[in-house]
Amino acid sequence: MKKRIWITAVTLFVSFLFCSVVTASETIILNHPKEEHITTLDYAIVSGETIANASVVVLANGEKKEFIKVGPSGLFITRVSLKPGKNVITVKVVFPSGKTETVSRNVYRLDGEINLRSISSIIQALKLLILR
Amino acid sequence: MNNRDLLLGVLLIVVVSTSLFLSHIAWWRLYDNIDAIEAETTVLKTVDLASVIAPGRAVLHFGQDIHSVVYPYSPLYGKIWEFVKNILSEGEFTGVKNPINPESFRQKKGLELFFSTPLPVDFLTKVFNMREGQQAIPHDRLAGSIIIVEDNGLSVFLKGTGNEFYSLKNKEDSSELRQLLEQVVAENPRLYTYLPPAKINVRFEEGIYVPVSDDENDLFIFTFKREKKLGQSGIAKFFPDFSITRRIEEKDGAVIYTDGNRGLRIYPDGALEYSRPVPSDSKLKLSFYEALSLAVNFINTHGGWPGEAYLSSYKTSKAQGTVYTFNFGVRVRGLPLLGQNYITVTVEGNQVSRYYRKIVREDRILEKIQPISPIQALDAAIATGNLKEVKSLDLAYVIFENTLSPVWAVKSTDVGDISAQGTMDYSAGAKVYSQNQYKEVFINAKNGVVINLQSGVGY
Repeated sequence: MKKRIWITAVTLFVSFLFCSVVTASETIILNHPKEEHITTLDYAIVSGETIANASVVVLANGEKKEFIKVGPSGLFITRVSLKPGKNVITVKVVFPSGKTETVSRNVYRLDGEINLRSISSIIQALKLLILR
Repeated sequence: MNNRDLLLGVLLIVVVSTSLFLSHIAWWRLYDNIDAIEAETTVLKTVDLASVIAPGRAVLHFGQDIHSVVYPYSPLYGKIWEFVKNILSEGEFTGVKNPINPESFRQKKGLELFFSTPLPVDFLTKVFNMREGQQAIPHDRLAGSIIIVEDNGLSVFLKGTGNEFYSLKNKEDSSELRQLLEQVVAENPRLYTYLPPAKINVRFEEGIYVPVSDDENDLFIFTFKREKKLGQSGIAKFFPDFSITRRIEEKDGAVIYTDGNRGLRIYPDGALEYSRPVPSDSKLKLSFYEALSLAVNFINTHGGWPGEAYLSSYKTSKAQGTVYTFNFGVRVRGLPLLGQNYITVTVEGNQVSRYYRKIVREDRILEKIQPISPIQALDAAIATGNLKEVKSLDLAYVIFENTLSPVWAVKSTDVGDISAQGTMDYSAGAKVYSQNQYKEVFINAKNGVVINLQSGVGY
């Protein structure tokens, strides 16, 4: 009997943890920039979705660039300038409850479209190599 | 005997004279008023069906998730539409493809043109003179948009309403598309990014294109004017023999003309309504193409074709023969004027059985505004109406407080509290193909306030 109670309790605890993680990950969806985004533009679009009335702080390379008070739709969008090379875009969300969540993405700014094409082909080649 | 002949001769002369006199009166009445008719619409030799169904907006994909949205008023639109028509006219239908992830199109160089209402695929192939390849063109299938994308050459699709793709034979050379996109970029268009379907606070099916450039997007609030009342020569066109029509004036100021079979009512505000019963033995069936051609030509010859008119919706009923009801809207500076149908034509058998027309046009500019962003509009719609599901969000015009005002039209499956505040039941526009469960909410593009058309309408 004790064993059964233990198993039920552990199952419930694990389920609770799992649900918490899922709920937390669903409270912010960062649509842009994509993971390891490569661009020739001098700016990056930062957009996403979170819960209503949250606050969003956007940082580029650790420097605060934008503060957005999200409305009832939970959608937000802004654009941040990029320096040539690697840029780390961080989006920090402060939920109405006071809890926070942070998502970071690497964005690479290249000089021109030719570079973009060659980098893309290198990435494709590397992917193929890894898959093999 | 002589007296009898004389009597008959005199009687004949009297009858002929009376007939000539009455005809003269009728024709005199007709031509006397010609000077008073100021045609505000042009009667064209023929109306090109491609212009009647011209898409309501074109979305251009420049790659790197940067897009532009072009509406029919823009000078760029003409170039884009010509390019697409040329591509389609060379097209050969090659078959139906399984759903393709739209994201893959958006990331490539290309464009997508959205029709104002889904149209039959076989009708489109006829309008654009597309060739039937080895695959038969499917009937009773609808396409909502045209997609042209650079993908190892040029891939061309008609996108079906069920997310299926009707593929045309690929072209090896995509240089024309590249040139077009370069031309557009050189014009410094307003840039947009795409926000995919939302799911946390609101279920937003289609996703939205949101402006990312800082440039201004001027929209205008206009006064409007109605079409002038139809003159006698225009009225005469509704009847095969105008001399036998009766004119009846009603107490409300409306005037009715009838020849015992056909009837034409002209309302005091200039709106007109025509009806002609269809013989019960009329078994002629027209195709969608033929019926739409008939409707458009009828409009053209009965009041003139308004330059900004477009096919906004239609209904096909097959209860007793095929009956087509076509609704035409008008555009204000390229944006649809919503709220009602401005022209409705019903085609039964091989004739027009009903015609309603009440056109308005922009007049003077009252104010220049910068529209609120689509996200602000969505926020306003959700905050006011507690919406949980949104189908689409588009810029449009409505008649509000005696002006033509720009709005964000939010199409929703659940109108929540907003319905009580003046949501239009747009199903009156014969929204078929399961579109009639949607309601439309209008958010004032100037200040984000929900527009109450029931109290504010000045029309």
